[in-house]
Amino acid sequence: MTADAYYIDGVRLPIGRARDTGYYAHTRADDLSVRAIRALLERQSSVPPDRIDDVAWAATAQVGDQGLTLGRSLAILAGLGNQVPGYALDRMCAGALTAIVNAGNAIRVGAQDLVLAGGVEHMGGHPMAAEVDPNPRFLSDNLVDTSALVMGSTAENLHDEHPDVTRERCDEFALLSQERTAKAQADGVFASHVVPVTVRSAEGWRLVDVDEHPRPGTTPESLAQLESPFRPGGRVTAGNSAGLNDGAGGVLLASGSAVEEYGLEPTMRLIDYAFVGVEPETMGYGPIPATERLLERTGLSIDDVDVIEMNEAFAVQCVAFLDHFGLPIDTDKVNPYGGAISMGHPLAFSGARLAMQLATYFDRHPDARRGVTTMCIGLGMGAAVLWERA
Amino acid sequence: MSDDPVTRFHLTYANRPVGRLALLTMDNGEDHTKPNTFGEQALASLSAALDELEPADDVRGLLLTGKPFIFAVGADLKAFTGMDADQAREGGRRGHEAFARLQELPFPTVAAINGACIGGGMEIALHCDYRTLSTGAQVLAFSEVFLSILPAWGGTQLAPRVVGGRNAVETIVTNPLNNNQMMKPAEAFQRGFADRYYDSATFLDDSVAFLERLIAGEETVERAVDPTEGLDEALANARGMADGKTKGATRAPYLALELVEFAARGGDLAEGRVREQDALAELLPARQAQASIYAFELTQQRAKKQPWKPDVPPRDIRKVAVIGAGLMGSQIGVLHLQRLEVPLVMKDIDEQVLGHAREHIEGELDKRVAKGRLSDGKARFLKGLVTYTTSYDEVAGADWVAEAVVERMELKQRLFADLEQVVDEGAILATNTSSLSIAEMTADLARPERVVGFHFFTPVPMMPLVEVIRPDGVADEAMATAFEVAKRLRKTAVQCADAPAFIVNRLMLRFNGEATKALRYGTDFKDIDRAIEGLGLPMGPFILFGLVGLEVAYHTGVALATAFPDRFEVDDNFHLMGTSGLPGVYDWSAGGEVYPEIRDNLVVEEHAPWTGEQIQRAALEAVADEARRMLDDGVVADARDIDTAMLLGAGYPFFNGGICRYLDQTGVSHELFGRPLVTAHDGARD
Repeated sequence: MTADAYYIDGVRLPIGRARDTGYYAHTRADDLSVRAIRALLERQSSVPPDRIDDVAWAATAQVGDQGLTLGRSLAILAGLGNQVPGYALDRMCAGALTAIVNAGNAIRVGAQDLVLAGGVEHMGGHPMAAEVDPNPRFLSDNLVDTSALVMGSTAENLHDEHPDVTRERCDEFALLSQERTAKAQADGVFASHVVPVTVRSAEGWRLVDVDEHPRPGTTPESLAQLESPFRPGGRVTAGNSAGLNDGAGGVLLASGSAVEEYGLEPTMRLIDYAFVGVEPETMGYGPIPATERLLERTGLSIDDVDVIEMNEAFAVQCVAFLDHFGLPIDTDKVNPYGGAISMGHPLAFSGARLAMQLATYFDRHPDARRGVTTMCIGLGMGAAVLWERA
Repeated sequence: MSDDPVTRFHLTYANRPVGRLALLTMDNGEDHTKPNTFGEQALASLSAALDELEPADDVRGLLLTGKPFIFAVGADLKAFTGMDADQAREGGRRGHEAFARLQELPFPTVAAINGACIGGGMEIALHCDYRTLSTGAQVLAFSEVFLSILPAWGGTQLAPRVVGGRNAVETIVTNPLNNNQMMKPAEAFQRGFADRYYDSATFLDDSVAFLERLIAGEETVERAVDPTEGLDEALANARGMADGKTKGATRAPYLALELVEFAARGGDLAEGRVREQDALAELLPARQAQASIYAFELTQQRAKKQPWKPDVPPRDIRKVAVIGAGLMGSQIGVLHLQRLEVPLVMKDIDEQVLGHAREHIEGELDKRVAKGRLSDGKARFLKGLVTYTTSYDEVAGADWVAEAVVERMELKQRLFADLEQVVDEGAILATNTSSLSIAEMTADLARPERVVGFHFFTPVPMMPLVEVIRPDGVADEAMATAFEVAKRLRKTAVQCADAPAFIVNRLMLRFNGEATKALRYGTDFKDIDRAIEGLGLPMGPFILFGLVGLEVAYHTGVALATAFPDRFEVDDNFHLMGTSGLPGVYDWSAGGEVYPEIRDNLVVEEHAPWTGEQIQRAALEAVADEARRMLDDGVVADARDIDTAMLLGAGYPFFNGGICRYLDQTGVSHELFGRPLVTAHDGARD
C-alpha cells in the first residue's frame, strides 16, 4: 500500500557560468542552496519550516562548501530548526533527481510528509573529477575504457555507435535549445521558479536574476565553426554540449495529508521511475533503456507521455533518444523550454531543474497529463521518472 | 598617512521589474578582521559614486551595504592623531557634504546593515531613507563619546529624528560612558535604528525585496517618533552619569548632549551640522581625544598582539592546579575552569576554606546556568573536573600551577619547594604575588626558570589586566605559556620585570602615597580625594584604599618602603589606617564619614592644608618620577606598557591615555625630564 507523493513547488537560482568572472565565483555552494530553500519556504509560507521531515540534498563533489552532510547543514544554515534532519547524496548528474525520488518514496511509504529535495553543484569551485581518485583496477582489469571517465569522450563514443546522429543534426538540436530558451525567457516562463540572488563580486554586491549561460545570438554558422576538444575530427563541441556551471535549487514534496493540512496546491504526482546501468563508455545512451523500462513498468507507450524534460548533457545523447522513440528533432514534446545546452548543467543540481520545468509546463498546458524527466549519468547510467498531473 | 586599506564604494546595477536598482557596496578589499573605515579616500570614493548616481535618470532605488560581517565601523582613527581644529572641522564638513548628497538622492535608499556598524557606519545608515538590519550584525554603536569626541557626521542630528531623543541620548552618550557598551542587533532594532529586521541567512536578498516593494508601493514604513518623549529625563540621567564617570574632565559627553537636545527640540539640520563641525573642531585636537585614540590603540590593538610574548610554543595545558583556595584563589580557579575547561585541582591547607571554594566555584557556574550562558549538563561536567584537596599528591600532573596563598615569603618559598617534588618536569608554575620578589621566592629551587609571575587584579572576573612578571633567567616556554594562558583567560597581559609591586601597585602607591602626605598638614580626607578625582581619575586615594582593603594596601606600601626607602614611606597616618582593621577609611554605613578611630588619631605635624592644585602637583610629580625610574631601570620596556596597565589595571580613563601619556600631554614630564615618557613612534603606532 502506498500513499501519493506530490510535487508542491520548486525554486532555483539563476544558473551561473563556472569561471572566475561568473555569477557565483565569490559565493559558497551552501549559501546558494540556503537562498533557494528559504525562498521556497517563503512561497509556501503555510508550512512551518520546522515541520519539514527531511532535507535530501545532492552534490557530486561532497567536499568543502559542498561537504559536511549538505542536507543537514542546510537545515541548520537555513534556520529550519534543529529538529529538521537532512542528508547528502550523490548519483553524479542525477543527484537531485535521485533526491526527489527518494523523498517521494519516503512519502509514498508513509514515513514522511514534507521533504525538501534538491541539489547544488559549484563547478567553478569543484572542477569535474578534480577531487576524485579512481581505483586503478578500473583500467588495469579492463573494467572500463579510459574514455569512460571523460564525459565528452563518452559522447564521441556514442556518435561512433550511432552513425545516423551526425554532427549537423546535433548542432541543429543545440541551436533549437538556444532558441527555445530565449523564447521561454522572453515569455517569462522561468519566473515561476527562478529567484534573484545577491552575490559578491570584485565590483561589490550584484543582484543576478537571469541565467548566465544562454547564448542568444547563436547561429548555425557559429556552431559549425567549433572544434571538438575531445578528439581530433570529433563531433562533440562546446556548442552542442552542456556547459560547466554553478547552480542550486530544490523542490518541496508532500503527502496527501500534508497537502490537506497546510492547504498546499500540488502540481503533479510521482508515479514511478527507473534507473538503469549501461556501458560506461557510452553513458549518454542511459535515458533510452531507462525510459523504456519506465514505460514497460507502467504499461504506457511514449505516445501516452505529453512532455519530456531531458537533460541535455550532449546533443548526441538527445538526438539518439529522439531517433529511438521516432520523434522528430524539433518535437514540442521534448524540452519545450530548451535544456542544459543553452541553460547549463550544474551536475547534481540539474535533476531538480527538470522537475521544476515539468511542473511549469503542467501549469501552462492544462491539457498535459503525463510527463517524464530523464537523464544520462556518469559511469554509465540512465534515469527516468514519470509524473502525472495532480 | 597610514597604509591601511581604503574603503571603496562599489556601484553595480540590476534591471528589475520595478526598474533599475543601484547596489552600493562598502568594501576595503580585506577580510572582516580589517573592517571598513571612512577616511578621506573613502569619502572621495563615495563622492565618485554619487557623481554617477545623481544624474542617472533611470535609477529607481538604491541599496547600501557592506562586506561580509562588516557594514562600516566609522572614521579611520589613525588619521585623527595630531589633527588640528581646522583639519577636524574640514573632516567633519567633508563627511556632512558626502552624506547629505546620499540623503538627497531622488529615489528610495535603503541601508542594509549586514554586519558591525559603529560610529560613521551608523551615520551613513541614518542618511538613507530606510534601514534593514541583519540578525547577524554583531554590534551597533556610537562609540565616539568613549573616545572623547562625538558623532559629527550627522549622528547627533539624525538619531533623535529617527529613534527619538531618549534613544539617541542613551546610545550616543550613556552607552559609551558605560564602558563603551554596544547594542546587539535585536536591541538596535527595538530602539528603532532599523525599519526591518531580517534573518542573516538571506538578509541581502530580503533587503532587496523590501526595496523593490517600497518602490512598487507595495510596502510602506511607519515611524511614529516623538523626539522629545522622555528627553528631559534621559538628558538629566546622562549628565549625572557624565559627572560621575568623568568629573567633567572631558567635554565630549556634554557637547554631545547639547547637540542631541538641539536636534530633538526641532533644531535646523543644516545648523546642526555646523554645530557638529564646531564641536569636532574643539574636541578632536584636544588632549582628551588624542589620549583616547592612543589608549584605544594600546588596549584594542597593541596589547592584543602580545608584543613581548616569546616566539616559542607554549606548554599545552591539560590540567591546572591553584594553590591557596581563598577568595582570590577561588576566583582564579573558576576563571581557569570556565575558560580552559580542563581538570582543576584546588589545594589548600584548610578543609573549611576548601568548602568555601567549592561553594564559590559551583555558585559561579550555577549563576551562568541561571543566565542561560551555560547548559546544566556542561556545568555538571565542569564541576566534576574540580578536585578539592589538602594534599599535594593531587597536584601531580598539572601543567600550569597558579599560587595564590597569603603574601608571606617563607610560606611561598616552602610552597614552591613542595610543588617541585610533585609536578612534572615540564610544568609551568605561576605566583600571584603582588609585591614579593620572585627571585627570592625561587632561589632554592632546582628549576627556578619555570616560575613566572602572574598577577591578577581583584575582583578577578571583572578586572581585565594581568601583569605577567618576567624573572631574570626565566625560560621562554614559561613566559610564552603565561601569555597564552592570559589570552585564553581573556585577560590583557602586560609584561614587567621582577621588581617590587610591579607596575600598577607601585605607581598607584607612589601617586596616592604622595597625596596621602597632605594629611600631615591638616588637609581633609575628602579634599584630597576630590583633588585626585579632579584629574579625571575614577576615585581618590581613600576610597581606593577602602576598595582594595586597607591591609592589602598597607602590605604593598611596606614592601615598597622596604625596597625604596628614599621615596616610599609608610608614615604614621598610613600606618594608622593600614593597621586599623577597619573595612575602609570612610564608614559608608554612617553617611560616608571618616571612621572616628582614624580621624581622632591622625598625626598632624603642622596645620597648613594643601590646596587641590598642590595635591595634584605633588602626586603627578611623584608618579612621573616613578615612571621615569621604571623605564630607566628596565622594569618595563616601553611607556606604553605602563599606560596599558594603568588603563586596564587601575581603571585610568581613556581620556588621560593612562599616566605617561597624560604626563607628557600636560607638560609634567617635559618640565621634570626635558623629554616625554612615551617615545615610540609618535605614541600611537607599533
